[in-house]
Amino acid sequence: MNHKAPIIFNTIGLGWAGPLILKMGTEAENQKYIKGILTADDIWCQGFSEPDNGSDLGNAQTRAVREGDEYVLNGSKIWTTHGTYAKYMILLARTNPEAKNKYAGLSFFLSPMHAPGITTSPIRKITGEYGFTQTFFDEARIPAECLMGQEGQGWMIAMQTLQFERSVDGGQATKYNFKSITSADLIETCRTIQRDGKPLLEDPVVQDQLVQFIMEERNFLLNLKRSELNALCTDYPMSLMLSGKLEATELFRRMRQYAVSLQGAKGGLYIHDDEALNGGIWQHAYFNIFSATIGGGTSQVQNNIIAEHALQRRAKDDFGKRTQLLQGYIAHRTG
Amino acid sequence: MILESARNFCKDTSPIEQVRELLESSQGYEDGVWKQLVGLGWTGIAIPERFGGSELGIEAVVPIVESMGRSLSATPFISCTLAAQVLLRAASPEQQQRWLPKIVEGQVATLALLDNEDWGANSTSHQLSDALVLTGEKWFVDDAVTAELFIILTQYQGSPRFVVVERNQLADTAIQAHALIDETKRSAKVDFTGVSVTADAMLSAKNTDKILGECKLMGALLVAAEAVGTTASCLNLIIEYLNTRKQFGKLIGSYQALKHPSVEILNKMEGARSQIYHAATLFEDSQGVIDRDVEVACRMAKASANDTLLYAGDRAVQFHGGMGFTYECNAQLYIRRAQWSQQQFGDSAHHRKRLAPLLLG
Ligand SMILES: Cc1cc2nc3c(=O)[nH]c(=O)nc-3n(C[C@H](O)[C@H](O)[C@H](O)COP(=O)(O)OP(=O)(O)OC[C@H]3O[C@@H](n4cnc5c(N)ncnc54)[C@H](O)[C@@H]3O)c2cc1C
Repeated sequence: MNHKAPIIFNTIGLGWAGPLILKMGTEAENQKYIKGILTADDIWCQGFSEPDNGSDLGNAQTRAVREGDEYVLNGSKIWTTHGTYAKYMILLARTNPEAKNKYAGLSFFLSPMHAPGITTSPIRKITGEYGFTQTFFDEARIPAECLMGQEGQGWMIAMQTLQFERSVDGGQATKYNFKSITSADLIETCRTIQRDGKPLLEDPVVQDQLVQFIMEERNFLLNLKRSELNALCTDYPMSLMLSGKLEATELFRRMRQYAVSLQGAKGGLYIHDDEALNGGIWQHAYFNIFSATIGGGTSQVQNNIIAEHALQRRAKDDFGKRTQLLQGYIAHRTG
Repeated sequence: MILESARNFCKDTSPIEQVRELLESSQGYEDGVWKQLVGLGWTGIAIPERFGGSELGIEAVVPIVESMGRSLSATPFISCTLAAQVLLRAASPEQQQRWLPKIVEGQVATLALLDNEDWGANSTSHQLSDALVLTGEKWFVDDAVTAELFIILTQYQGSPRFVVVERNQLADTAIQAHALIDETKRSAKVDFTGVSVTADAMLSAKNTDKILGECKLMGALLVAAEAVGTTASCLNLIIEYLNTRKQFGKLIGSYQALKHPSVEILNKMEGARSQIYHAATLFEDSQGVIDRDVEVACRMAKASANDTLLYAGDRAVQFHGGMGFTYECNAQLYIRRAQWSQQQFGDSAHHRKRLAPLLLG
């Protein structure tokens, strides 16, 4: 169980910056970036969230002002995963504060991290470790060619990025499943724990909960398969695409919390204790799962999105309309 | 009245900055605060007057630990209280006279009960030989670092037995601090191997199982009371954030997705709070005798308080967004306390399992 690394290195590059560039980038951008992403020579980070604007990403205020063949950046991004060692950042910044609405003033950049005026300051995570940063832009200058697409297209490109990140277009869904600790690991754990002098796995109350988790996990896997078959997704064509991340991460949160609760007095130990069960992996994983129920858009906001886009825009008997709906969804989120 | 003065004392002596500062300290509390607390008479509150105490019962301890939980203040108060209760039940009058006044005066005493993680296991592999020499480690010995007195559950000639060991009988290396998930608390693994127990430090051979059971129930109640207090301040933290943080131009507290779970925390907390006070009242009525009703009340209190704080700590992190994922945000203190707290003297499933035959039999 311990070999299952919770984070793939260069997740952002491989998971969504890369796919984004492949899908929407120019030939020159593809040439410049893709190889480094694949070899993981170039680590990428994501500069979307700001201290005051997280869920309300469309309100991002970091400024980018064109001066000659450069953009001048001012402002701050936060919760920048890999911020300390990334070479590039996908950056959402405001080029036009006077645009007709908040979304229309945003632009998207493939920005270097190593430029004068860009600094990072590490933030300690709930787990006790360091891992993300606040990133400051103080009169930082980057080449104008870092702009992706046109000025004003930032929101549309950011939404496309989030589709990859939140698994609508495939990216992350499998990751939640195969790289995470799963119900199989939980069952193994229950085999080793003694309660009232017997293995926990024999406790019928525990069995009931484990079976429940297995079922939910299977729902998720079967949904993933069914979502590939448009004809079987007609009632709520957007629903499976939008719910994967929410369902998987919330299931894992509950499962990990449960795993800690099962450990008896050892549940009070943490990763550096020799006696901690499985090295404290469940405790650590429970804390870490909030990176996924918060990061990439919180569960609460994802529920709002599903209500708005899957429930309310229910297609009656449309086959194969999902791509169209997805475009519509991106356009709608564009304001 | 105790509740009010306890709450004020804890508020004054354990502001959140202080809690933060103590996270990395080895003993987890300040000597000065402990002295003040002793001065208030709390260490003797449930100890008879003839030993210097005020002869109230566990019911008077409940509001104090609730207040400590509210301020996340971590002193050896629960350890000392429970150790004294074991002595009151299992020690001879001479032994009581020897140790209880010291506990009243603030000497730290603690219990060494477990040598595995299972609160439901009814045996210990810890041994006291015929020659009165101990063999074995104890885990989860709370406040061991400052304890002068250890009340150990061991096996003697095939039966469970409490014995008392003093700090100066232990080797320097005997105490190894646990890395707890809750960094406000202190607990350790203690190796008693090789320690000779004097015959006058063995507690009564009678009723050890019963006394152990009672001690665990009192422990469950006190930790439940502490957790209820902690839930209250966790909920305050949530409400404060919901009433200051804005997204989409509105206070996030205006979103039902956050409002409703917060109300759920409140409602669960009110239930758990009624449970702990009810249990306290029963203790008072029965004058400390633990009958079936007291048992039911203690177990219900613990299971309710566990689940409430677990939920509150979890939601506190989630509702703080990215901020909630930081070590700097106080939500971490609560989610960590919740993981620790639920396991002390039995988790919720442990207690519900024992409630079933009491309620359905
Ligand atoms: C581990 C981790 C890594 C991250 N990595 C990155 C990164 O690399 N790059 C990056 O740009 N960002 C990153 N993020 C940021 C993440 O995207 C934001 O934290 C997230 O979008 C929430 O924004 P916020 O933190 O400002 O919280 P807020 O938006 O302030 O949310 C606070 C609470 O309010 C709730 N809420 C907000 N609006 C609503 C609403 N309309 N209805 C109901 N509830 C609402 C939220 O659900 C949350 O519970 C990361 C976050 C974490 C935890």
